Amino acid sequence: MKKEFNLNQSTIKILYTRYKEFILPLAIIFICAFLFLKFIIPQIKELRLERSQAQAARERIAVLKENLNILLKMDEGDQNLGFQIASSALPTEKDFVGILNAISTASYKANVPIGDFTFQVGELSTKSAQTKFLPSLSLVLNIQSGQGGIKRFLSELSETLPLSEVEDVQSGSNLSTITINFYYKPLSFKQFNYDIPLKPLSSQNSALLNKISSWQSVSSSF
Amino acid sequence: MNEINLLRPKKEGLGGLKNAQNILRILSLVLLFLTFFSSIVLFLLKLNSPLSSAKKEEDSILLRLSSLKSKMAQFLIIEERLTNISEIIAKRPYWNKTIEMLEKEKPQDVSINMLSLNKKNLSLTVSSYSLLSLDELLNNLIKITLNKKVFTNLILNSMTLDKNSGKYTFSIVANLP
Repeated sequence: MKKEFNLNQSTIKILYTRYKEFILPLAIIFICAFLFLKFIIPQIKELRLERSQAQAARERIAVLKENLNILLKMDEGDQNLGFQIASSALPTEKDFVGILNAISTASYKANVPIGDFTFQVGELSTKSAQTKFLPSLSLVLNIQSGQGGIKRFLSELSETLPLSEVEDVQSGSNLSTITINFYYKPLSFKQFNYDIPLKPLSSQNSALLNKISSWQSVSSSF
Repeated sequence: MNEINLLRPKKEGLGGLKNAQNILRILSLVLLFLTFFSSIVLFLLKLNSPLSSAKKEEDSILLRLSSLKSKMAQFLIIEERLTNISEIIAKRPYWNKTIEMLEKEKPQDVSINMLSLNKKNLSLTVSSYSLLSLDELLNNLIKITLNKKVFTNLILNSMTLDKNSGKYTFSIVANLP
């Protein structure tokens, strides 16, 4: 015979009386589980994230402190001089005066007379010049001298600022033509970051700076 | 008619329920304690979070660094330019050394009429009254090509003789590495 189950008031009362001791522990278990899942576990995750962020911040602070120390130790006078030398070796723009000065210095020291010359200026807008790695200004120069004079002139020019590269030499017995590229580098406006790790100038770079400073002093004194 | 048994069967006694009740009570107490304890621990850990102190320290250093911004920018520019300068110095050709080498290898009675130099090759027109001297120059250039690897190859383009003056003229092309 099939039993029928009727959930009427008396049945509920019987069930409540029988299982009422279970209600509170079960409610506590459910609430605790809810708190764990909804709050405690996300908070633990957040705490771990904060820890890793703090670690990254500590590393960044170490770099910033090191940068600060390096910058404070730098002599401002030396740095200005270094900047001036580096900028005259590799100007920020087409330095016509510097180029003419370099040519006259080299010709004077090599004792060769300079003839006429032509500038191949190229792009005048700095925007297009900035896209190239190292833009240059080309100069075609006539020198009234043969190989001996050219040799001396090239030797002097290689130790004169701004830096140049001789692209082509055509030399006869008494007249020569050379094509020279004078380099320049526009300032790049990158995003400035304080946390780029700075290092004091390497011994190689210091030596290079000293070397080109002697080139500059020669051209300046002329 | 349904019969109502007023006595509970022995197997279904209070023992089983009591056990389950005790287990639930213990479990709920343990969970309650764990929730409470972990909440306190999390609160304390949050309170002493190293991130906020690190941020404060970072801000104070950044403030000091901002006063040295131009100095830092200047330093970075110097470094960048020096790298470029060393690259230029290393890669640019020093033709004066090539001309010097040619003059050294050239016998005295050989004159260079024309010299053309670019990054790819060297063209040379030389003349002399002595064929032996021109031969010596050629041999010297061949030696340089083989030993010093200054040129990758050497080509004698033309060889002429001016019958009136008795002067020999050689036109040579050398490819540069």
